[in-house]
Amino acid sequence: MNSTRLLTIEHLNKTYHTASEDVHALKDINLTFEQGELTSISGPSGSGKTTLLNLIGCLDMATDGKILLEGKDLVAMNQKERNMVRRQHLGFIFQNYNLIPVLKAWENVAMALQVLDTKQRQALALENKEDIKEKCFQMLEKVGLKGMEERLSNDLSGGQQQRVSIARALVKSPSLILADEPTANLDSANGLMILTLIEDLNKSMGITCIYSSHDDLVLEHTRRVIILKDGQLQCSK
Amino acid sequence: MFKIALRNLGRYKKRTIVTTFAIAVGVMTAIFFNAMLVGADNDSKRNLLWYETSCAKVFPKGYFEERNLYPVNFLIESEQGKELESLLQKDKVSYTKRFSSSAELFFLDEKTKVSGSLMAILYGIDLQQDKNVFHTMNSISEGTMIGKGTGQVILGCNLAYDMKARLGQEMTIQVKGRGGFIQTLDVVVQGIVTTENPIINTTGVFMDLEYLDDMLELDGAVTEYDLSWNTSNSSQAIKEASNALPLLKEQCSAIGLDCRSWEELAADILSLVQSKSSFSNLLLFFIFLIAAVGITNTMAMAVMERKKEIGMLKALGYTQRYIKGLFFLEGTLLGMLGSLAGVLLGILVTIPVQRYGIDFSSMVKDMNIGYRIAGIMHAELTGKECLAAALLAILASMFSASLAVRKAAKGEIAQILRRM
Repeated sequence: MNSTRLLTIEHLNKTYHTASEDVHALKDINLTFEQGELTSISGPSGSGKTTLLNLIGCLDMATDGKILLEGKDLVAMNQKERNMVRRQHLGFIFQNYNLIPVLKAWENVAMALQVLDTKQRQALALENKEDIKEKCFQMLEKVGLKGMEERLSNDLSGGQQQRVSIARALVKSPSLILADEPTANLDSANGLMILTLIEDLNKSMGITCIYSSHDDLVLEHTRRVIILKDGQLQCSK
Repeated sequence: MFKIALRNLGRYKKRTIVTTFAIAVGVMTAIFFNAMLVGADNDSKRNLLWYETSCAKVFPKGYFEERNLYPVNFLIESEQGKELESLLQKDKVSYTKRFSSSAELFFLDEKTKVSGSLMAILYGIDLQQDKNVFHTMNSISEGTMIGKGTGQVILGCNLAYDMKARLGQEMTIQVKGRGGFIQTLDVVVQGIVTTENPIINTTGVFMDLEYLDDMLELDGAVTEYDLSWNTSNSSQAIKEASNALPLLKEQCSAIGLDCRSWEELAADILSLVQSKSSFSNLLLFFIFLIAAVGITNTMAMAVMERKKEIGMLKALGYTQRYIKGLFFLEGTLLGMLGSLAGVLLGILVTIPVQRYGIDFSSMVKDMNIGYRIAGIMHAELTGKECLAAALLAILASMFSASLAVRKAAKGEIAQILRRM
């Protein structure tokens, strides 16, 4: 497995300002992630795990500190640059899948490709709409949804919808996949199936993946666990 | 984007149907009201031209300013009239001459015991030439045309109804003659006219000009010459008159006469019609406002319900502009759908009214509503009005949608996703 440094977090802080008080969600976090890692961020509710994942995913702004993705500081970037990072380098798997119900399974996956500019599409060998469709079909096959490509996402089960969401996250071959409580809305059998799938894809495609979860099942399927408590790093093992 | 927007309309079927229906009702009402207004406007103009003002009138100088008093001290004398006639013949303008005066009608019917008096407008008409300009004598609904040199009268139908007048009934008319003396005439009801102009029906009394000339010592003088350029097509007549009148006005002025167009003669009525149109436009504005509120509400609901979609699209790297555009397109499609349905409904509702009209005769008989329409009011559907209503609705939808999606994609994604 590749051991190149992918992500470095230095003295990261996040404070939410409310009317009555300032809430320090993250306090002086320092972490590094190697390429190909399968890591979970764990901790009790309110420990700051989702906040950390959001900051890494450019979904929120840090108060101060640095997040270096492939050497580029995400905290110093403007809105447009952060948008570009999300578009090109990051894939998201949400707790409640966040699929567009009026689109078919493959069309949902294609949403991640349609946003790419011509240069980015060419890098993925996507010349036309047919190429995009083919790529989406291949990705859905990889996540075990062969034959369900033309189904509306609303007609799929929870586990199947999460698979579509995984395919959508993986289809553009991002540097990093961020999964926020990916099994929270699934029963244990489906949860296990999803975790095994991500584990297999991590091994076969070498994609770095960071979970945020307090589910023991998730922790069992990762090679590294980072524990947060009250916004501070407790341990990384 | 188009595919998602279109499918989302199908996804929220009930809401789409309700909003489309609201827009459609707005557009349909706009089309119907506009068609009624256009119809009433055109019918009014035609009925003014055919029964009241003609295309233009030539008066003696000073008469126009006091025309509402029907003065008899301003007359076009016989010689001046001949000069005018040769001018009009040269220009190939159809004309007739009239003597108009206010008059009081006294009636007593031995049979029905109905008696009393009523104010009316007495028109002395040229029995030969009146039909060259006016349609009044083509509208005799009871009785026959008055005889030359006789004291016979034709009454407007509403006037006859109010007097309980019947054919052959005798009555007395008091009218001013040359110099202002009062002449009392014993006359016989020869006919009743039912025109499409309520003013004529309510106030018009028609007699032979030759008879009145004798009785009122007019010596061939009249109060007006009435002109027409086309008696079968009022729109064409208006067009031709507006082309010919500037020169004719100059020519009349040169012989000491005052030529006035139908617009000048009916200025007060036309301004009343205009103010009615403004009020109707205000009404239409409120109809569209209601539709716009409906669309804003629908789109705001859609934005609220689809927060997670918005958050996901932003997470994938879609721009704020794309996301706003998506909702904006949905609102616009909704507007287009509603407009299309509204235009179809509007046409369906208006066509029967265009063909058969709505009978307002009982309403307008006792009431002056400004329009010169005596009974059946016809709608007039125009493609321009349909298109304008549809475009207005689409624009209102676009505006409402843009209001609703203003905040759709604002804020950090984490915040948007947390709000779910």
